[in-house]
Amino acid sequence: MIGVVVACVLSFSGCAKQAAVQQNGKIKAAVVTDVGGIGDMSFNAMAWSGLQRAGKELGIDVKFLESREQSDYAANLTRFAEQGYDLVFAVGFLMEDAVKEVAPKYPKTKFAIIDGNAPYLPNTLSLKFRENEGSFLAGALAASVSKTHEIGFIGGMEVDLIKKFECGYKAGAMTADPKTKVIVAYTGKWDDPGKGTELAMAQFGQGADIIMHASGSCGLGVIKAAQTKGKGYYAIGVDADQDHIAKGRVLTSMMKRVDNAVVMTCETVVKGKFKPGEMAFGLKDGGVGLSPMTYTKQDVPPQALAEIEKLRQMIISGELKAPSTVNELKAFRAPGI
Amino acid sequence: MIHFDAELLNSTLRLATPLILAALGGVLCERSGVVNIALEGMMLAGAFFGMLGSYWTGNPWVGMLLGAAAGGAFGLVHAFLTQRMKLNHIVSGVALNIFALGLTTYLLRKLFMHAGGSPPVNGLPMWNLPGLGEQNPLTELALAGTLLMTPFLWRTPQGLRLRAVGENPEAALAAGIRVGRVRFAAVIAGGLLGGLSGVYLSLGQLNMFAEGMSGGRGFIALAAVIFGRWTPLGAAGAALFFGFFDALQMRLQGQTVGGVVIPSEFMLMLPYLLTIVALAGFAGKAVAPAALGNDEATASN
Repeated sequence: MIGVVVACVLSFSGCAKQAAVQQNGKIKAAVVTDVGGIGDMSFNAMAWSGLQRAGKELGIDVKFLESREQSDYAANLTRFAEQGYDLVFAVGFLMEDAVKEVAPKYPKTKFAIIDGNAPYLPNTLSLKFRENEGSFLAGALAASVSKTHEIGFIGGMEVDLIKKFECGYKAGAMTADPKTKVIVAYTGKWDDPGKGTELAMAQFGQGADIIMHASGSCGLGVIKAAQTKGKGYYAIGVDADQDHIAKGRVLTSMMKRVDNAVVMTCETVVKGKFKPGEMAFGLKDGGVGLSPMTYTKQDVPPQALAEIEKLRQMIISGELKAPSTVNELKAFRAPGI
Repeated sequence: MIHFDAELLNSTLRLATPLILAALGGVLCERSGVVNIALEGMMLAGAFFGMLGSYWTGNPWVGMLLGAAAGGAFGLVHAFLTQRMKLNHIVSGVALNIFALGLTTYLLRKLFMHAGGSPPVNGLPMWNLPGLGEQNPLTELALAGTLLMTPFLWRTPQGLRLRAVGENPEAALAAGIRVGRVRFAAVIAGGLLGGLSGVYLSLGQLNMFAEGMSGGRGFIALAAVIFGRWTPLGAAGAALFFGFFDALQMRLQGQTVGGVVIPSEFMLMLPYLLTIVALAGFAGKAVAPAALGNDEATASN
């Protein structure tokens, strides 16, 4: 209740402040997306929605630029730095090198890289997520709902970040049902929905009935494939709440609250408390988690939901550690639940 | 052990359909002597305007026509630039590819206030044809077009003129063929097919447009044209070859060979690698239309 009141007051004062700030051009923050663009209904979209929220709540000036190609990253970051922006978010680990290149030249601008490593500089911060924790719950849910005892995982590119999803997902599936087989494949791209559809059709054809994706806008194709197959087949969305894209056919979404991380970072800059280094968001602080399953809750046995909740508590309390690398996955022993 | 599901052939067809349509467009265009690396741009424009037509009217068939028309319009511009303005064919193609990416991205944002992808629209329904099962109408069109284009090019006066213009425009001109007009027609027709291949991506495979969704397929289609030695059957065969190995690699990913998982990157590379190997093996025998890229005969008319 108090929270609501405070939020209202904040947003009211925010509106009033916003006009003033824009006049004398005080704090300016921007998002540079990767090639997925802010319409990817996913990662980039959330970064931008977070920044828009920060714009309203904190009264800062916000803007975005989309990168058409990887070669645009540095140029886009530079553009905002040149324009005197106080805080620039670089979305995605692919921008690591660009941040490393641009940040030292503009010490007055703070750079926050989402999902990537930041260089050791006083003006850079890395915002990371414990995707393995959320993916663990997604895997456990998929394994308890699957009728075929075969589930799929479709990644964009086989890189450490996506492996974190994959390892968590596999461990979760193993924990909920040791018999469940996980098929894994990669599209090799982040922005080709057609590839996502075909790859998902291939996995459905091989016997999987639930497929989680972590593949940018290729995932829209994965969801489309689940829709085409119809009843009994599900996709699991990622990053944003993608459940609404195909109501009833997206079992859940493993959400990365990039928006929350963006707002929190903006807050530190507004209050002058920006700290360089790294921040990691997990299940505990609401940085990752499953979507509310608005359209699919009735398809999940209540017992499975209770189990997922128990696993969530175990991860939050530290009793259970969701593996994030292949080696950790090998060493992982499923706890009895 | 690897098990092949019944979907493998369907998947091959689905993956090959846009490649076949674009490659057929490429054959028409290049047979008339005009190099067409703008297929990628035509495809992207077709995908966008196909979506737009369906969005505006709610009718995917209208979308299909609009998408094809957009590809045709790109063909018209390509023909104009290369035949009337005498622009180098490659330069014109590159420019059109860049223009298509810029145009579709810009319009997406202007019209939908939304970047990255369009809202969902009505997609093309599936058709059930005896012998082929449930297929997208554009898949059927691609297969029918492959079969019809061979007699068109080799058995009709129009086809003969088109090839004559591409082989020896000076002689064609002397024989009274209006070289410029034939090339305009061929490039526009090629553009229509390129546009349709894009419609397949946005209204066939999905029911929305995503930025840059052509994903390099236009260039694969161009490779199929060359690999197929500028013949409709050859180009479609090459497109199916690529589609098959793409469908296959999707099913081979994650499989183990002697206890070792084959890296996904290797599997993803497979269709491209095999295409290059096949190209290298056949390229020596592939002979391009003799006057490909040659505009001298159209200089005066």
